[in-house]
Amino acid sequence: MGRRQKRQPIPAREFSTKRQNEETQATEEGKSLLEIFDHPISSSLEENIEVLKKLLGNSDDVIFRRITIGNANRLSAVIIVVDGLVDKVALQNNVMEPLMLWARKIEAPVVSTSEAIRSFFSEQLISFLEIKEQTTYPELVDAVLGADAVLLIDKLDIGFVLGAKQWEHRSISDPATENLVRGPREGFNEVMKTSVALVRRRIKDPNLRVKFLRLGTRSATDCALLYIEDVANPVLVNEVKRRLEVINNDSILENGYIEQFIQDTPFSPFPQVQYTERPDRVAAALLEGRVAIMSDGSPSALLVPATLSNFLPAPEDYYERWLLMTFIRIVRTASLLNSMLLPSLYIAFTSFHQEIIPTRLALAMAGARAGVPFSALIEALLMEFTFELLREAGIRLPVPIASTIGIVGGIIIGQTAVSAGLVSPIMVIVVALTAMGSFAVPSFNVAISIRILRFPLMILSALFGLYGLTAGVILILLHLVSLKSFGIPYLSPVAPLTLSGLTDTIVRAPRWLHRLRPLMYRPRDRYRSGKITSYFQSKQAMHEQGFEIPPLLEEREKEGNNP
Amino acid sequence: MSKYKITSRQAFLIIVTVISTSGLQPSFRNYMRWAGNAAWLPLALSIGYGIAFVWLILVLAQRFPKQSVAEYAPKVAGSLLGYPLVLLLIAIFFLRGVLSLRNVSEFFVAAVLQETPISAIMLVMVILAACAHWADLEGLVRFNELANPIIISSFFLVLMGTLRINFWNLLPVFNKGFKGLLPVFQSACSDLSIISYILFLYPFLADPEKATRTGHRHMAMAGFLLLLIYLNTLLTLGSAIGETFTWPYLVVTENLRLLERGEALFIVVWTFAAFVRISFCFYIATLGLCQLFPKLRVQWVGVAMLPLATFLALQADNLPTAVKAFTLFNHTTLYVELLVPCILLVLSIVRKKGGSTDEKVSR
Repeated sequence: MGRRQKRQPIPAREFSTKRQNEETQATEEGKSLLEIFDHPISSSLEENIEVLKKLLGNSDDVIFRRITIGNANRLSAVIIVVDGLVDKVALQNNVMEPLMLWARKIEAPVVSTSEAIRSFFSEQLISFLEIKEQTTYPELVDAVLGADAVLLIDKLDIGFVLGAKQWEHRSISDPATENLVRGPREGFNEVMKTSVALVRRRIKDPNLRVKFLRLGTRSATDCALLYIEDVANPVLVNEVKRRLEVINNDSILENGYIEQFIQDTPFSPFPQVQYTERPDRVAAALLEGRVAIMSDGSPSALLVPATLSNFLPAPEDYYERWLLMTFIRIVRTASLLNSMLLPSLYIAFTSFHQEIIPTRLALAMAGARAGVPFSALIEALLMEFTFELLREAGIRLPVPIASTIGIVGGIIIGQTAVSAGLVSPIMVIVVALTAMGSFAVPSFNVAISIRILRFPLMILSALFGLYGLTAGVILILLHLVSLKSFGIPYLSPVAPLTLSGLTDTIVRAPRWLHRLRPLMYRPRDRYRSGKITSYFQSKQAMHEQGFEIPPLLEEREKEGNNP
Repeated sequence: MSKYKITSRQAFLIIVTVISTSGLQPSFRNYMRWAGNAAWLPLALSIGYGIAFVWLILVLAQRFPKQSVAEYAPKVAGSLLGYPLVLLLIAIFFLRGVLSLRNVSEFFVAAVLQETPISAIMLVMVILAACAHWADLEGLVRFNELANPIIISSFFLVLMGTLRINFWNLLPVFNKGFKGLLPVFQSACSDLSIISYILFLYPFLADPEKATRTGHRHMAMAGFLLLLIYLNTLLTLGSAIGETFTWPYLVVTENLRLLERGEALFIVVWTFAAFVRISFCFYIATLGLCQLFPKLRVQWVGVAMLPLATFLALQADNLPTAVKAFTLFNHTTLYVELLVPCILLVLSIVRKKGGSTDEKVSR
């Protein structure tokens, strides 16, 4: 809390006349009230209350609590808060009680100057951790609407802003969309400062930078930018800041808004910004040299830049042993391809390339499709559409009803459709495998992209068989190789190829091989660790025989007695 | 255009993919028909030619760093000779794209889409090529970087899956005499001469100093891959049987026992390779034109050029005519592609352009 330069207060009468003139003039020019009153506050409490009431629109949830301070040298004051957004108990104990009761008991100093009054209040009477002095009306309005308490005292041309934010919020719980078998169970909640603290708890590095900013002209949403100063590339950090600063929208109600404003290619079906509800994932990203964006009211953080390889791993891939997780990743990648290509392959094989199917299977498929009145394309579209419908219906419903929908969809519709001869049993299997494949992808937004792309691929397969399907895949790959996220190629480290980056793609190499941070983000500090990082490597380096625990002395003696 | 930076590895990797599509061209049948069992000898020799050719074009390109042939040719040879020389190179790439489009489409019709009209297959490929122009050089080389390992693996998979390899198919070596060796050598060299695209791409290289090493290595890889695919075909079928098929390599894949009729799956991989070859040929032609006339935009010129390419590709009445045109093209363009850089190099040395002169500094 630095000392301000001393300003001459404007006399109350002069202030009132000046304000009225300005108000009339500015209203004629079509300015907003905040623009009109964008000047220093008055030393008259009544004037200030009048202006603030006008600015806050006399809303019923804004409380103006008048109090009187001291006994002999009485001073009028007012506390302004928005009901429900502040910690009333803290305000009562740490502000109102000292001002209204203690101030009468203690010996009042000689309060001849406003500077002395200010220091007396902020340094002796008010026992609040977070206290700031503001001098203009818009700052005070921002503070009140931003869930702080404002204290105005007569004869003082400043307002005290007390950090008294407290509102009802969800406690920290399991992340709903990123469940793990092994790993922390903490997820972000809607309070940004709690989310920031969860990350800070994991990275106790003084170089971790948290920059606050407000976005949305009306919502004035608090946002935070997180990065590690000596790891993240400064060009990247500046670019993220620049993109955030140019957002010109009235509201940021969720960080999905921010994602849509800052992404490179808005017309792409693929997400170029990663979101996560897990603090450990954010911490890992920051340590790679990426930047995180958080916003108040959103239980997730955005991570930029994001490449396709960021969307495929789950956080526990890094907590479990490498061999197991490499296998899981291969399964996951196969399921991703399965989810995108299986219906198209079914169409291509049944319509164009029957020769590729083993004879017995081909005969069985032909038998199963014998009574189906539709072409393979229509059959596949029908089933895929039905499945999408069931999935969409299931997501929005409460869990017990959603499971009913699942039963209705999976068993009744599936079985009935087959019995009615609308679709073949093999098509039901294909749709089921496709659905399972899309659920195996850890990232929801990539899974959606794949779901969308499945339909044009099915049409291309119906037109040209495998040739059409390949043409579709080529188009998707051409798009992917051209796509960038904050200047980083979307398919890196595969295309363009970075050999060191391949340790964390489909294969998850052992932890001690991750010596380098991903070079595609061009981090300032390229190394995570020194040359030898594990017992295994140190053993190799020093040609040791390994470590064994020798038997205890008593055991040896016993063995000596009883060989 | 200069904003795009590609690595030497990315630039030269294209040659490996492009050459691997020779199995989809009617070249192998011609090789067997001309030189019989000995066709692999000139093929092996052509690798040496390819490496020498890479050296030649790199010597020329390095004399004019950060410039494409379209920029320095008029300065070196004068406008009257320089422009026609560049236009000749552009025309070669365009026609190579046209012939590849026709041959590859014929291949797909014969392999898996017997009932689909060839024009429909061409249309799909042309749309893909147009999209490649929009993805631009950066996108195209990255796509190739991604697809290349899959393409190369497919050839090795075919090799591993071929059960009927018979080394006696190499004997007698010169069953058709020595006369056919030269056309095979010409044809193979012409295939490898496609590397002259580097003359247009050189200014986009992020690491031109690495170009020589990378260029030679990739050219050798491409040559060996061509030789390997050809030997696989020859050892499986023998030249006497192989020359009776238009695409002998397709017959080899049809006889794989790895999968029941697995050639359809290989078609998927080869579509990638065919796409790279066709779109890259057209892209280089378009890029060359845009370098000659800087006001043109690659994307729009590409889109405008592709209907003409389709029209030309459909001009051959039937497959034998297309094959004849392909053979004639290969034998003719080999000399043109060799002569153009030679002329430019000699003129630049004689006229003291490029190299350590102020030409280099001025850029």
